[in-house]
Amino acid sequence: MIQLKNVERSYKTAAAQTWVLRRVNLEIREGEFITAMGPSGAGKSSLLNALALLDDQWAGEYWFRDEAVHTMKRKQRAELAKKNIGMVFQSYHLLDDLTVQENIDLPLSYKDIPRDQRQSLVADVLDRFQIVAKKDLYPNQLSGGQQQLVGIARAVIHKPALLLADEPTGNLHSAQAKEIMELFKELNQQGTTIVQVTHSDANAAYGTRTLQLRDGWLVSDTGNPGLERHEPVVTA
Amino acid sequence: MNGLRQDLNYAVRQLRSNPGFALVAILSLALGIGANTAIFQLLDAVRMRSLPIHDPKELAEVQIVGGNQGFGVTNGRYAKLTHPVWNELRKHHEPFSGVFAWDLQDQRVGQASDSHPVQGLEVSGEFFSVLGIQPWKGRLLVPGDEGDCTISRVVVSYPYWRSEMGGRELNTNATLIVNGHPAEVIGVTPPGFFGMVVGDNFDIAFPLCHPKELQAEVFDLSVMGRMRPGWTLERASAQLNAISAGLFEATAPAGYSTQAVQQFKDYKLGAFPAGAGVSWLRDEYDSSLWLLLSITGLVLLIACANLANLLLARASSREREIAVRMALGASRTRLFWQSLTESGLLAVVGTTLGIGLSQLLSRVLVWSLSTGGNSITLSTDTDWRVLIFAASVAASTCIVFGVAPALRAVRAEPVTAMKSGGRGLAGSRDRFSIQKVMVVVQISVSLVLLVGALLFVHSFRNLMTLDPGMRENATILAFVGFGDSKVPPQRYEEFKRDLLEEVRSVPGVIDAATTTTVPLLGGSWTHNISIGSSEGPSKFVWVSPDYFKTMGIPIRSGRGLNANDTGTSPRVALVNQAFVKQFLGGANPIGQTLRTGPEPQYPSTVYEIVGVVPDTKYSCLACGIPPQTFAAASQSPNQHPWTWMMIHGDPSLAVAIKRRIAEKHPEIVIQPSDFQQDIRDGMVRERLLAMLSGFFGFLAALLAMVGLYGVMSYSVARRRSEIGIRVALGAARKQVVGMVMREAAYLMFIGVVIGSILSLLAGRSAGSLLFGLNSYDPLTLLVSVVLLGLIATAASLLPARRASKVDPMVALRYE
Repeated sequence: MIQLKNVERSYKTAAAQTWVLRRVNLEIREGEFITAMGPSGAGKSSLLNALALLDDQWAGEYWFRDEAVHTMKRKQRAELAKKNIGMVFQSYHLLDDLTVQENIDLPLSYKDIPRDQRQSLVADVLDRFQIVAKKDLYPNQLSGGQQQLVGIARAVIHKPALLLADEPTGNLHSAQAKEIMELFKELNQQGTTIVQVTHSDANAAYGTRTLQLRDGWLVSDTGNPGLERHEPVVTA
Repeated sequence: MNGLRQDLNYAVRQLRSNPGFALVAILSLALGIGANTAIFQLLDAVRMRSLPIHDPKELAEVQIVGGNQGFGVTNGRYAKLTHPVWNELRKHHEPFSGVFAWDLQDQRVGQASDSHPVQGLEVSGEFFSVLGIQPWKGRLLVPGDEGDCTISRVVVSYPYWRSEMGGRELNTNATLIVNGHPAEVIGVTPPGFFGMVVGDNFDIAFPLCHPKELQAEVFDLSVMGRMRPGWTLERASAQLNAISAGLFEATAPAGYSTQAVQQFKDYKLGAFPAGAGVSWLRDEYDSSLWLLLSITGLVLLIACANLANLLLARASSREREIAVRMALGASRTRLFWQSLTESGLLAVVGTTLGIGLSQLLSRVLVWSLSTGGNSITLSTDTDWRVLIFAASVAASTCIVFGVAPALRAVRAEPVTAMKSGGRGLAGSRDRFSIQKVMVVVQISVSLVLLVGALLFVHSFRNLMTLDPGMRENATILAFVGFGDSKVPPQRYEEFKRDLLEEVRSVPGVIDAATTTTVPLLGGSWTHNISIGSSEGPSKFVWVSPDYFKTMGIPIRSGRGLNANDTGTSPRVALVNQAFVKQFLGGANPIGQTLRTGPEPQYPSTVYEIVGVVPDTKYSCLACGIPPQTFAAASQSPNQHPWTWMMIHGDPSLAVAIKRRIAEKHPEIVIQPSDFQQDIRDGMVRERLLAMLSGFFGFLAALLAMVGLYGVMSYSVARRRSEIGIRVALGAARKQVVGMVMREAAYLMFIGVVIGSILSLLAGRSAGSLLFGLNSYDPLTLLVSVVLLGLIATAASLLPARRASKVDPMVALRYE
């Protein structure tokens, strides 16, 4: 599904160039449930942003279903992401002024989908996630777990092939976290490819493959035992 | 003390680190304060300030209640009474400890052809003593100086003494040549005394002349007096009312119809306050200045709204800083004082700049009221009352909106504030609503000001482009006085014809004619006429035969005047179409006769109508067109040793014309001017309103634009995370731009609706100041809305573009 070849990302500061991703080679197959782990600053979120096409300042090659993303223009990448990728955030990022229903409808509102069809899709998702009763509530009227549930519903409303989750249970207590992870597992079983970033081994256990990152380097990949090991190098 | 210094240093550093914020806040303050103070200063100087004399409240003017209603001849802008009436009042003035008479009469100083006009103040001998004016040099005029109509002694004003006489000591050689005769300068008035007319500084004061033949129908004096202790205006009026019947009976003029004389005898005198002097500026500009003060008041409102918005945005963005300071041990009181210091510093700097700006603006205002032939002298000293008022309003805005949010922030728990501040985007919605309300207020008020500005500019343009029905350009107007030429009265007309020939002989002069009244410059001469069964007033003017050709007025029917229309031939006249319509119902007037009512020196005369001319403007461009009668100058019943000449030719020929006349008649006084410029000088009020309302309208729109820009920028900054999420969820850049623009459009819409209603209401008060258009002009409203729309679009486009460039990754990192 996705192939990253020598993907690198750095930030220039006045004093130095800081690398957050170094020569990352990664293949993600359809239907996988991948977990990216590593300490803070290892490059997990940077990898996720690159995969989500939120970041387009990386170097290297990015292939999505045999399409060369790295040669695409910004608008084409946005279109690709809009069609195929869903995002779940640690802080949910629901819009305070919109109701649950409106929040879920948000990604559809940016596509040319007729209003009736959108309403029907939202109704389906509300039902599927069992939050019909909450549809007219505002985010601040929901618990953290419920907010994340809405966040996931919003991420999958347009049936993305790839679901990216950045520490989706980071702000939840263990019972709520378990509920969310069960939901991810279910979505994965229904065919959605998932890449999650987490610090939790328990959450990682839901995945089918684990990546370890250190200082921007992909240092281990359970799906690729023959991964060449690199020593972290810090360039001044 | 140390704390204050530290706070002050910090405040200065804060302003320097946010130059955009500081500049907009300080400029908003300075413009609001400066504009209000300047306009109020002028209004105060023209309207409210008392004369610089001893106890001005005791001064009262004696006037005919309701005015003379057009009876007789009114000679002078401030003239209210006749010489005979003054003579009676001088003898019978029980309510007053002293009375005096005065009038304005321009005089010529210098040798005949090189002489120049000066502002003359003719005064009765009691003038200075009743006013309580002490001489700066020499002595002032006393009753004993009155009598001779040839000016032989004068008192000069302090500015005239300084500028024209070099401030030299007075001695027996201190003389001026006034109207060709030497006049001794006997004294100088003190520096602050400008005469009785606010805005007009007199140059020379001379004794009241006692003419050999009193003209009882000529109103050429103003009479004032100082009320005795215990007398009020009401009591004085009652007493004057009581003596009126006898007084007007004794002074009634002869030569009028019985009905007209009765009108004179029925006049009643009254006492009116005169402590603030008299002023044509007051009469002419009072409503305009109040209107301008309202406009600047609205500008101050917009400026304050701007300030409030800026300070609210700033205070909210500093909640985290305040929380950190509190967490580090700063007391709430200390933080409050720190906020107060910053707001106070802003207020002080803005006010200081506002004071400077007000001085500049008021000078520009006085300058713009002055015209080529009429300079205005007004004290533009800072009016501290209004300055303090405007500064207080602005400073309160500064302090309330700067300190109130800070107070709220210091009341909050540091942990909560830090949490919300850390996220940087979680301000409460109600505060932001206040900012939106401010922007709506700014937009609606700006619309009112823009509509006003466009109305006045349009009105001014209407006047400037109006066709008065006669030639304005390439025309020289010249006053020609030949009183010293020793021409016998029976030869006046012949002499004027010779002068016209002299003028025509100047190369470049196309034509020239004489007239007794100059059109479009405010003059007026009326006679009651009867024609058939109709009667009523008609404007009357006596012109030389070439007048119509010179002024480009075609003869519509019949004939013009010619050399055969002499003093001995039957009296003939042309009339305008308004005359035909009013008196003859549109019937052919040729061959019909009109008769003038009797007046002193103008006996009842029958004129045959020989021609009709189209309607032309009379007193002023904005005035209506009255019925007009044009009679032959050679048949005027009253000949004078002076005339007005209208000369068709380039205005630059004025010097050559003056030289040509002076070569042959050095004793003749000739004052040429550019007729078109004279007309434009008469449109000062319209120009002032167009200029200032345009300026303030533009300023208001600019301030509103800054306000909208600030609010939209702030909104975008607050919504950065939201925008980031939207982009992450698939929102295209143009959708983000659209979202921000929609928000601006919403504010704009509400502002426009409110502003349109306010504009329609405000239009009522300005209706009388407009010419050639309705105050409810829908086109003007539409243009204003479009203009404001463009401004609002420009103001919100930048924040919208900034929003569209929000990097979702960066925005989301804020969590």
